[in-house]
Amino acid sequence: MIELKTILLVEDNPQDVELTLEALSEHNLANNVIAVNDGVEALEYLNYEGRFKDRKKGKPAVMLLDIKMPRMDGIEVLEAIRADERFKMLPVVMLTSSREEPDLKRCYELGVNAYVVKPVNFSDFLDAVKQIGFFWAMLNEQPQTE
Amino acid sequence: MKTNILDLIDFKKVDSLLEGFNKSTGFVTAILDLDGNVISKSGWRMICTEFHRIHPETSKRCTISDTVLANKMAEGEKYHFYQCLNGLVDVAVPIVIRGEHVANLFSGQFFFEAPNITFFKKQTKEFGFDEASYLDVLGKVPVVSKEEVKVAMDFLLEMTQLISDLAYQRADQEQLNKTLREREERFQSTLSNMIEGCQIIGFDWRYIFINASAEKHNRRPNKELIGNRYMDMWSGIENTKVFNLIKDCIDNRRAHHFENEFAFPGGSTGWFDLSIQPVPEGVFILSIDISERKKAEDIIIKLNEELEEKVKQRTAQLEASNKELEAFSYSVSHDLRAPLRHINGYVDLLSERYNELLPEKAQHYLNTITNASKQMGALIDDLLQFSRTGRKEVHKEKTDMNNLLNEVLEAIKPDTINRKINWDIQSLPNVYADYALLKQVWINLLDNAVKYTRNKKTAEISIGYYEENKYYVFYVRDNGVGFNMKYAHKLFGVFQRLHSQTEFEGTGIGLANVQRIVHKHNGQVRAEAEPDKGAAFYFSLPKNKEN
Repeated sequence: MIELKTILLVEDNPQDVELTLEALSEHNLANNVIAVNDGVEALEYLNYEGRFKDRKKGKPAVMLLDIKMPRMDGIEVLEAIRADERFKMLPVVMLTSSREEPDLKRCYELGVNAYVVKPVNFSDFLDAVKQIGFFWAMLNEQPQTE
Repeated sequence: MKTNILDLIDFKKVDSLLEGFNKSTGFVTAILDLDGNVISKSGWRMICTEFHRIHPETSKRCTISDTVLANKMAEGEKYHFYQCLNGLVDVAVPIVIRGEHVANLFSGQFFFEAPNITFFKKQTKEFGFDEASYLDVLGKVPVVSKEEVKVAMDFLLEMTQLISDLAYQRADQEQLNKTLREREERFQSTLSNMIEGCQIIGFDWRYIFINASAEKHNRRPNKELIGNRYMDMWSGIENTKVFNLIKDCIDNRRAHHFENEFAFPGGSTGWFDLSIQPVPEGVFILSIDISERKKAEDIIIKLNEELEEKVKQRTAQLEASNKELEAFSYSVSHDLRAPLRHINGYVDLLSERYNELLPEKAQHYLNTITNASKQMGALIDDLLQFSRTGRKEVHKEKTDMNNLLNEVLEAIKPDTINRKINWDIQSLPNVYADYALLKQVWINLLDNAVKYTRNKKTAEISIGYYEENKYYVFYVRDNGVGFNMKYAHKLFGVFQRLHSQTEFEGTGIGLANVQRIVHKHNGQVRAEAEPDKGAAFYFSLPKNKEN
């Protein structure tokens, strides 16, 4: 069996986390998901800080990033990691409720890999999340760094 | 008024001149005006003065002689010699001054040849003169040649003319002086009565002239200023712009025109429009009090500033409320959708995973929840789009309407599956419009046409346009359920619907959006319909880019 890659889910809403995990579990990807509550925790994870001080070394295969979150929002996280030499090439997919044009534009300017608006309809949402997970965690290849 | 030349001649001088002439030459003279009045005379012969002009009879003859001579002169003769009725020779020449015959110069009382004693003896007897003394004065009458007389007369004539010329010159001078005096008076009274302030300051900086208006402008009496030096009258003036400009005018003879605010000794201030001109005496200062105008200008400036400030405030308020609105719709977009998604998600999970455990009624409830949340999702999406349209700037470009329409038809194709629709589509003109916004207009109108004809076996939808003045009017006409025109005014309002949700689903935002977009293009929308016959929707767009 191939080594499963980690998906970092940055999402403040527990229902969204649960529903996303439901969707990913259909590809048996749910166990590889690390869910954090906001941008601050996301950066702590990447930098081995706080509760992730002793986590296993390695970068996630993809970061699923909500935009509207407390403390540090998704766009700020994106900005921070794109400015960081180590995470410049980390695949980031915005997974958000916002269809607002300025958000879209800003994210692409910051070099986001994909921007997905969470479909209101649950079966559409399931499909979307399953595809994202499957594509980034299983199909996509990244350059080996570090 | 014509000046009488004779009034101008100084006859005292003429008299003494003729007297001297008489003494040195023996010629007697007289100047008579045209009416025969003797104006000047000298050295008349005693034969005339003591005999002929005394005795009434001989005097009459003298007058006749005078008149004859004067008439000859009036006829334009230059020299006229005449033997008078009393036996003497008279001569007259006209005095013509500047072409005008003004008087006559007479001489005479002499003989060209030795007198005829017989004639005079006869006179003695005739008029009862004392013969001895009469003959004695007769002997004193000189005998002269015509030539001598002529030379003497010419001399006198020229002399008289010279005197009259002088007189004329004096008259001219007087006239000139009068004119000058009048002008001076006119000038003075003009200056004095001018609304503008007029002041003259000499090269020594002393006030020479101040008119009444300037006195008002100075706010102190003229008598305080006249004769005094400018800088002594206004302390501190030497450090001002006005002083420097007056100085420049005095020193360099340069004119200046400017506006200046003065602070008066009493503490008051005033604005003046000043013209400083070099004049022969020094500088001329023309001042106009513009304090009122300046006050008005100040008020206008202040009002403008206030207005600008208000506009700024309002703009800031507007921007703030726009930002708030954006933040609001952002929140709606994000936060309102999330719980809906969750409702949908959990209902789905429930009905999928626990299907067998749920009674039919429970299934029905779950369906209702799903439909309700879908409807709410659609409402939120439409509302967000409506708000986005409101905020969006219109970017007009040349738009190929046929192309755009084809795209829209392609987009709504999924809704036409299993439907029989006869499309009648006219070729449309190009317009200047925002492509994306205009697309929403067509999508909404065609969506409606398709939706509201779905109960017809065969739907008829026609799309076309016509021209109306400076506009193209586009329309979409269908044979659907239509509506009662009574409610037409509600059609384009937000959340206004003319059909129930069970008849035809919808959010009531589509046509509001259409109207908003068309208005943003300076066009109009309207609708026509009849229940069960169909409806037609029209929107106009300006033909010209500028509109």
